[in-house]
Amino acid sequence: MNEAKGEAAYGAYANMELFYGRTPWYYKGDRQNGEFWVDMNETNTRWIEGGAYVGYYGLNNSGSPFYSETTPNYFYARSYGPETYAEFDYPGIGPAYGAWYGLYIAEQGVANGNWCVQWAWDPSPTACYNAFPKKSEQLQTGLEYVTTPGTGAEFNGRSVGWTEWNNWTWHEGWYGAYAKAHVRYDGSPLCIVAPAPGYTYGSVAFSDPGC
Amino acid sequence: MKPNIKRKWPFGVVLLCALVALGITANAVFGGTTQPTQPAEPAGEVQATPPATGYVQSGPRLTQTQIEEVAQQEAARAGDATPGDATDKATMTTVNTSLQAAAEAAPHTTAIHASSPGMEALLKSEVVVVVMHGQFRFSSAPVPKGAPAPTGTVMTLTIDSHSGWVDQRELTTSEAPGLKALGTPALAEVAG
Repeated sequence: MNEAKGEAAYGAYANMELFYGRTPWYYKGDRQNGEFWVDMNETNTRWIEGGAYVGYYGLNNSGSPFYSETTPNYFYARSYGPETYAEFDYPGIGPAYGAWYGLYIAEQGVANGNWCVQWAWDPSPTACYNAFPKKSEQLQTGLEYVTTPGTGAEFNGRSVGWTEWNNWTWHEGWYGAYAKAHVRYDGSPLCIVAPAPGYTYGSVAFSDPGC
Repeated sequence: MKPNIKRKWPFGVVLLCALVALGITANAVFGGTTQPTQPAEPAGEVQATPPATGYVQSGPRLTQTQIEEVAQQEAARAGDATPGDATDKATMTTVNTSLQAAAEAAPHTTAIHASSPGMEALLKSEVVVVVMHGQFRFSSAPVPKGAPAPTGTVMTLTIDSHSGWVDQRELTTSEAPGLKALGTPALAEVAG
């Protein structure tokens, strides 16, 4: 592993975009996310991640149930191992379709295991978590898909990752054998293109159902 | 006989050539990469606007029964429609607080920042923290490739007290120590 060339990440960033999305069974627990993950260990149990998913239900201003299959919501989540999961979901606040948004998951110039979540437009981090490893050797980006085509679900987007090297410089692409884009999916049919057209390792374009 | 022609190059031209040669050599030896100080969003393409308009919490405050219904739905989605405590008595504990206080109560959280006006309004919103005991599994939780679905015996939900939206979901094996500082919990029996 060559840390000097970014094969260990001390921070990650992704430009992400959703073209469209629909999760008809969101209220039953289905979910479709465009996101990226900073994985902290070999067993994939310690990680931080973030992005946007599609679906909303709650009560409107008059207290009546309100449901949307297509509303995007920003989110981030983290896990320290088995039975330590936490997830934060923004209430109906998400990116417009066809617009890029950026998210940092990174240490703050010191390799101390304190990783922060920061949206690109924000001047400071939104949330920070300590007691994580000082570096990540596995970055992933793509689609999380827990639904079935029969529900009428559809989703289409792309993601372009950046890495912060051990000299605290940022580089587009996820460099080296350990930090390439992976794609997470739980269903089919899917269309996955990695790297995304026009980009390098650490990028992915995805859509379901099919291309 | 060849004419002996001596050309005198201007110093600036010589220096420029030397720098170019040095750059080419360094690039070949060390590998050429650009090193931006910060990631950039794709130029010339549409960028998402920051949610700076602020979150507005409105509508009537949910009743305890409505909060419990939201929690029960979440428990059912997490695979345990009849959550109970260690004695198998079906209960849930609820605490009224702010989203910021609830977020900061989660273990290992070193900072929750109001990084923008929109985030500040959201963090000030009123929430109800609900703690339930059972056998839970978030089958649809976003996790990295190869990671198992999150499980836990304690599910903590942070529910918007007006819309019923679940701001936070946590699965653990014990209640977060920070929850005790949020206020006196109310204990409710739930259908189970």
